[in-house]
Amino acid sequence: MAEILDERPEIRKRLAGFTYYPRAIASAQNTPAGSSAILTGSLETAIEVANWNDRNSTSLEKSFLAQATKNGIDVSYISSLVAQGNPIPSVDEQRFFPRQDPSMSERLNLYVTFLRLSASRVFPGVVLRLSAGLERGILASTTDSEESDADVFNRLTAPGVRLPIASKMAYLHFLKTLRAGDLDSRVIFLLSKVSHSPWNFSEQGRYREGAGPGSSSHYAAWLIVALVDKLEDLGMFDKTLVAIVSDHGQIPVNDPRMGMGPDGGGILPVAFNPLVMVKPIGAKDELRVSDMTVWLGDVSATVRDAFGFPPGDASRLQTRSLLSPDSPDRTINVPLFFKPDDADYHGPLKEWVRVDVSGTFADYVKASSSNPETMLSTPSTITLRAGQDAFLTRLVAEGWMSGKGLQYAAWIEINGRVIAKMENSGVAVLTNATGNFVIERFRDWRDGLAFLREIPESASVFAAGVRVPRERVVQEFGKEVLADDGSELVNFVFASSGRSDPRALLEVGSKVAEAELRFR
Amino acid sequence: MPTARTDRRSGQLVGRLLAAGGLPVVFFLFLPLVVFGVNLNSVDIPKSVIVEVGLLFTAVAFAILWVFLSLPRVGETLVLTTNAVLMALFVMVLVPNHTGEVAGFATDLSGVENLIPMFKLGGLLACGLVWGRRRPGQFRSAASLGVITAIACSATVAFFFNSVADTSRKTEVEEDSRFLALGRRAECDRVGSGRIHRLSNGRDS
Repeated sequence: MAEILDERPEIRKRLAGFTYYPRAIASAQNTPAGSSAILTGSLETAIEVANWNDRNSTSLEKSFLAQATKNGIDVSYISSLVAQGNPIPSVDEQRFFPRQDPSMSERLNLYVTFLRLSASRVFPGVVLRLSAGLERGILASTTDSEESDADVFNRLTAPGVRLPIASKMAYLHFLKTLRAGDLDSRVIFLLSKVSHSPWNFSEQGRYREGAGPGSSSHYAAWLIVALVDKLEDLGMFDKTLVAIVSDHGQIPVNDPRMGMGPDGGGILPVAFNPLVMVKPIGAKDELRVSDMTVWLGDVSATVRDAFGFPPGDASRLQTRSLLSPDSPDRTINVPLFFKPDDADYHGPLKEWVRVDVSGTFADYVKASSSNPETMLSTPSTITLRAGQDAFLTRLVAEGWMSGKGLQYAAWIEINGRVIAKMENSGVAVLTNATGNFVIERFRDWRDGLAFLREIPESASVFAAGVRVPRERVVQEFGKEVLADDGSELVNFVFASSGRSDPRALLEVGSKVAEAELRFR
Repeated sequence: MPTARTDRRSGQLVGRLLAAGGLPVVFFLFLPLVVFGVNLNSVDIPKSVIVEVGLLFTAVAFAILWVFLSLPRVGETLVLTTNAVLMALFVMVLVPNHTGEVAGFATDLSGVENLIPMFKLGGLLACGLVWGRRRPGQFRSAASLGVITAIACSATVAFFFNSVADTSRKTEVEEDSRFLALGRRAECDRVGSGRIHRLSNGRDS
């Protein structure tokens, strides 16, 4: 958000009344966990409850929304996170989100869409074009600005691509139907995926494949401005508390302005940092930037404070109402969680790698560091792995990531945290050949093998290679170590701790090669 | 005793049944299930949706076609035409147009061509109509064989094929075991000082 506010002063100007907290902490890159923290002010449910729907339901039951309902306040919950047993009654916007258990009309829609795709095997393009709904659907150019959101949603089948569009439709419907009378005593929770990957929105909100995170984030910022405008039009802006909060964002790593990519490798721009912005009732001064360290759970405390509700579970993790004056030296005490490579992005946090931290934003930056030199300064476990990636294969099959068929990867993990991952082809290397431990990634295995050859014997080296031609591995490391199953492409893991340790090709396999090592 | 007239009537009835049932089966079940079956790694749609909605559409289409095919005078011509369409679709499913992988990403279809698929479809239809006119009994047998094959293929996919997405929708326990099946995890039983210790897979060079 900091980047957007700098780039677009017109957006900054129209967000008068808000306080922006750039030093925000999210405990995990996990949407249900973030949603739970925002709603409850606690991580207990996000950590403990295994089933996705139960986790959402429990979060709602412990949320400020449930407290508001008990106090006779009208509540709306608009989110793609489905809750079991409807602890909060659904509102109209909820219909935009496809359910895991689709209704009959959704099943019909799914079937018809798939039948159209299948029919392309049989009919010429011109016949398909004549079919109703296809003219601006399947065969339309993706740059067709006339195409409605509903048309785009219907012609796409991958859920990961559809969800941001559903979110946009839900949000716009919410804005369109918002009335002044609704706001006299009402709490509205809206979880939008507009700024979520795969980032297919232009800044104006048109569907554009590959538009990128920048333009999609700008569009999301304009949607916030649209809410402000709507509240002003209704004469309700001064009387309304507005909290804008990301359900996670990336945990700050190394540079407090930067975040770390989900594969542990890519560095993402500051736009991906956690976001907390609050506009208290009556606030109208120019947008203020606070230095205070905050975390997502503070939003729950803020809403509870505004309504005078007791803090509930939130008190255990030292939540704080953001309506109170800032404390620049405030410390927080919430753990961080890192996703092991084979765990679900949306799973319970008890299955993730937990790192207990307390302190200021700077302490969290340090604790979440993925700098291998820092991580290996204490006794550590290094895991090298290369081969079939069942998790990525599933994500591709379900449409959450692009790609086709079986996926492969090479991983290097330190203490269960992925610090390097090469997808489908290449070599990842962890070495201290130049003094400090660094990660080197080679998309082309030839470059990776050449780099390994150049590393001096005295240096430590840990490497994982995926989908490398068998003959080159034989040539490089010696034939006797290879299992002879006839595969042309193999995966390997390789290590040496330096002068006192012989270099070792630890394992080679056509499906997977893996080794776990202790290092200090 | 069956007469030539009753034989002809029962033959017409079977022909109508075959055409009215066969075409919907080929289009609403055989076609999507074959596409599902050859794209198991890429499709997202649950198989149950194809089977349930496909059966529903087949039943509705059967009822509508049955009414039309029972019309006096035009009925027989319609049966022949329906069988020709059925056969053309059946062949096209098995020898499809080049569309690229159907991976659930609709933009892949932007490459669908016109000319060659048009000739293929038109040619097959024309062949079917000529064949049906000249050798009605033989053509009906071929259509029956096509429908039986379509039903057998559809049933095979419906009962025995599971997409990666369908598999992943199963329980978390099964998911865990899949990950464990990824590979062996070498054990490590002591911490060294400045050295690497790996103790279980014994393939150091």
